Amino acid sequence: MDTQSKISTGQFFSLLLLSRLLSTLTFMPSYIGTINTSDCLLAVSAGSALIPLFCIPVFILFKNKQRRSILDEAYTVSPVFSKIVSVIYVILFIYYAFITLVRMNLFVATIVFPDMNTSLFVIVSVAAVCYAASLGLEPLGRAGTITLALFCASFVVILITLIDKVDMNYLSPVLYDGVSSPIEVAVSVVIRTIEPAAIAVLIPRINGNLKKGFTVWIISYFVIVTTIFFFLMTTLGNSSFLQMFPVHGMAVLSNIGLFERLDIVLTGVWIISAFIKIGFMIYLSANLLERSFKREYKNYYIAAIGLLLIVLLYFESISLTSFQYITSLTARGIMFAAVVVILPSAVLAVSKIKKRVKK
Amino acid sequence: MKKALKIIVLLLTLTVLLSGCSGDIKSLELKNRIVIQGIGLDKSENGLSVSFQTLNTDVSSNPNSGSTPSEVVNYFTVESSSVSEALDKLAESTGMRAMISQNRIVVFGNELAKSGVSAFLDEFVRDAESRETILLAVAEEKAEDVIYAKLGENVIPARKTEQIIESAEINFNIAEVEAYRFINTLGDSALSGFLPMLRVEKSEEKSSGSSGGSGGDGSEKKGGEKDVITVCSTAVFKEDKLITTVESDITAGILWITDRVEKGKFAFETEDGYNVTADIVTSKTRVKTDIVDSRPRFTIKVNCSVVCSEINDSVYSKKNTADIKKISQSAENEIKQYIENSINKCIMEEGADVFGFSSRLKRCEPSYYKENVSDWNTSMKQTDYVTDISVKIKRVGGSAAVLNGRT
Repeated sequence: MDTQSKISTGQFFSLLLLSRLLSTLTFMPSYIGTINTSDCLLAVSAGSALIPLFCIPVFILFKNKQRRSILDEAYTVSPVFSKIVSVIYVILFIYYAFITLVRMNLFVATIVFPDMNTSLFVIVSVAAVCYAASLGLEPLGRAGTITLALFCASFVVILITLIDKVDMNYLSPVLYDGVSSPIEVAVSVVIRTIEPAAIAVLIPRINGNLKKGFTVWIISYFVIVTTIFFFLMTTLGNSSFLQMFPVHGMAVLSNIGLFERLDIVLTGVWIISAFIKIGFMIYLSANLLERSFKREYKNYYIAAIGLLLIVLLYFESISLTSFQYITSLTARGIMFAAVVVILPSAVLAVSKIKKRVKK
Repeated sequence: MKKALKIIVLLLTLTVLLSGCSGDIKSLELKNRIVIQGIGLDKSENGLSVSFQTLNTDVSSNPNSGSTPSEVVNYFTVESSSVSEALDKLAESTGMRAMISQNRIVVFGNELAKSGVSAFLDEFVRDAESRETILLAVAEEKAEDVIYAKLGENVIPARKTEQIIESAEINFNIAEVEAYRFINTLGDSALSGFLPMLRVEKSEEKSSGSSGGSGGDGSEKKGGEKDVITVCSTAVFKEDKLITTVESDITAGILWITDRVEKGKFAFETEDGYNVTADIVTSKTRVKTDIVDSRPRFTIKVNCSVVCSEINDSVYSKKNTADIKKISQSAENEIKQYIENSINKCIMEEGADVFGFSSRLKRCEPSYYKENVSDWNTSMKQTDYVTDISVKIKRVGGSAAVLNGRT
C-alpha cells in the first residue's frame, strides 16, 4: 500500500462526496420517527447546510501552511498520544466500513437477491474491496471520481423522467407538527457525516486548494441531497416513509419510453459506490495503523480488517434487532461527537498548549 | 505470472458474483417460474380468495412447437388468509415459484372493497419483486370475473386490461391509479381515494347487447364467443372502504380538478344549437386556496386548449371569429359542468374529498386546517368552490366548414 502518494483535491472531495451521498441513498425512514414530507425535505437541507459548523477542527488544520494532519498534531504532544488518537480513528473508520457493508447486505438481500443467501456475495465483495484498498489512495480516488460521475448521470436521468410525476400536493405545511422531528432528522444528517475525520487524517496527502475543495464539496452535497429529497417527497409523498429504501422506491417510478424500472441503474451505481466507500474506509484504517505501528504489515492490516468485517457481519446478520442497535443513531451520534468533533478539538487544544509551554 | 493470476482471480470472482451462477438457480429459471400477470382479491368464507392469471409457459402454447396451442394464460384461485400465503399455495399447486414482478394489475372484488382494502396492499409494498406503480382497480362484481375473463386467442387479458386503464392518457374519463398514489390517500383520513371500476360482460351477455362504459376490449374467441372488459365507472373510497361509484362524467370532473387530464375528446352543444366535438391539446388546472369570511374558498382555474375535431352544423356554414368565441364559451361551460357535477356528487352528496382539497388547505392555510380538520367532513360541504375556466380554440381542423351528413 502506498502511504506517500498524493491525491488531487478534485479526486479526494469526489471520493468524499460519493461517500456522503451513499449514506443519503441508503436513507432509511426506519431511523426517524413520524415526520411530514416538507419537514423532512427542510430537515435534510438544513442538516447538510449545518455540517460545516462541526468541521471547525478541520478548518483550523486548513490554516496550517505545513499541511499537518491531526495525527501530526497529536505527535507533537507525544508519540503514544498519536498512536491512541490513531486507534480511535481506526475504530471510527472500521465502524463506518461495517455500517456500509451491513446496509449494502440488507439492500442486496431485500431488493437485489431476495430469494438467495447473500453470504457469498458479501465475502467476495469484501475480498475485492480489500484488494482495492491495497492499491492505495490514488486509484481509489480515480475510481471514486468515475463512480461519482456515473452516480450523478444516473440520477439526472432518473430525476428528469420523474418530472411529470411531481405532485406538489404531497408537500405538507412546514413545521406543521412542531420542530422536534425535523431537528431529529437534521441531527441525523449531521452525525452521518464522518468525512471530516477523513480530511483531518489525510490533509498532508491532498494536493491543491483545500478550502475551495471543501466549499465545493459541501455546496454540491447540499444541492444534490435537496434535489433528491424534493423529488422523493413530491413523487412518492407519504408512501416514501413506508419503504425500507425510499430512494430506490422513487427510482422504481422512473421510465423512459419503453424502458421501465430504471432503478436497476441506480442499484448498480449504489453497489459500486458502496464498494468504493468500504474500500476507502479500509484504506484509511490500514493507513493509520501502518503509520502508527509496523509498516511492513500493511497488507495484513487490510486482510485483518476485511476478515473482521465478515465476522462482525455474520453476528449482525442474525437478526434485525442487532442491525438496529449497531446502526442506531445513538451509536453513530456518539461516534460522530467523539471522533469528528471532540477528539480533534482536544488534540488541537493540547497541541497548542504544549507549544505555548515550550515557548 | 502475477498479472495472469490476478485476471484468473477476477474472472472467478465475476463468476461467483453473477447471480445466475449461484444459489438455488433451478427454481429461478424462467421455465420453473409461474409468471403472474394479474391478481384478483375477493372476500371468501375462509378469508381471502385470490385469483391469479399467469402466463402459460408450457411447450404446447408455443406455436413453433408443432403442437396445438392452448391458452396463452392459465387461471388459478387459491383460498388463503393473505396474498403472500396465496402465492405460496400457488407454488405448491403448480410446483413452480411465483414471479410477481411481471404482474400488471391488482383487482379488488366489490365486496372486499366495501369491507376495506388497506390490509391487502401490504404485499405489493413489502415484496421487492412487486412495483408500487402497479395499477389497481375494483371489479363491478367479483375480481375473479376480471381475472378469468377470456378476451380471445393470443390475448393476455391482464395486459389488455392494463392497456384499457392506461388509455386514460387519451381518454379523460378513465381513472388510472397506481398503487403508491392510492396508498397516499389512505394515509390521510381527510382524503378519499378512487379507483377505476371494471365490468366484465360475458360472451352470452355480449351477444345480446352492446358494451357500456368508457373503454373496453372484446376479441373473438373460438366459436365466436367473447368476453368484454370495460371501465364502467369509478369507485370512490372513504378511508379504505368503497362507498360509492360514480359515472364517467363525474370521473372527468375529478380528473380535471386534480390536473390529470391529458388528452381526450368531449362533445357539447353550442348556444346556436349545433354539436361540437373538441379534442384536448393541453390542459392545466391550478387550485387557489383562500380563507374568505372564515370559510375556505377553492378557486379551480382550468386553462385548456382544444382543436375542434367535428362541428355538426351545415356544411356550408363557415365559422367566423364570433362563432369560434361562442364555441369556446360553450366548451368552458361544459368543463364547468363536469367540475361542478363532480363536486356536487363527491363532496356534497358523499362527503368524499377525492380532489385533495384538504391537502391543499393544509398546505396553504395550516392554522385554519388544524382547527377544522376534525370537522372536515362537514366543513368541506360548506366550502366555496369557484371555477374559472378558460378554453382556447387552437384550430378548427382542415376545413372551415363541417361535413354534415353529405357523401
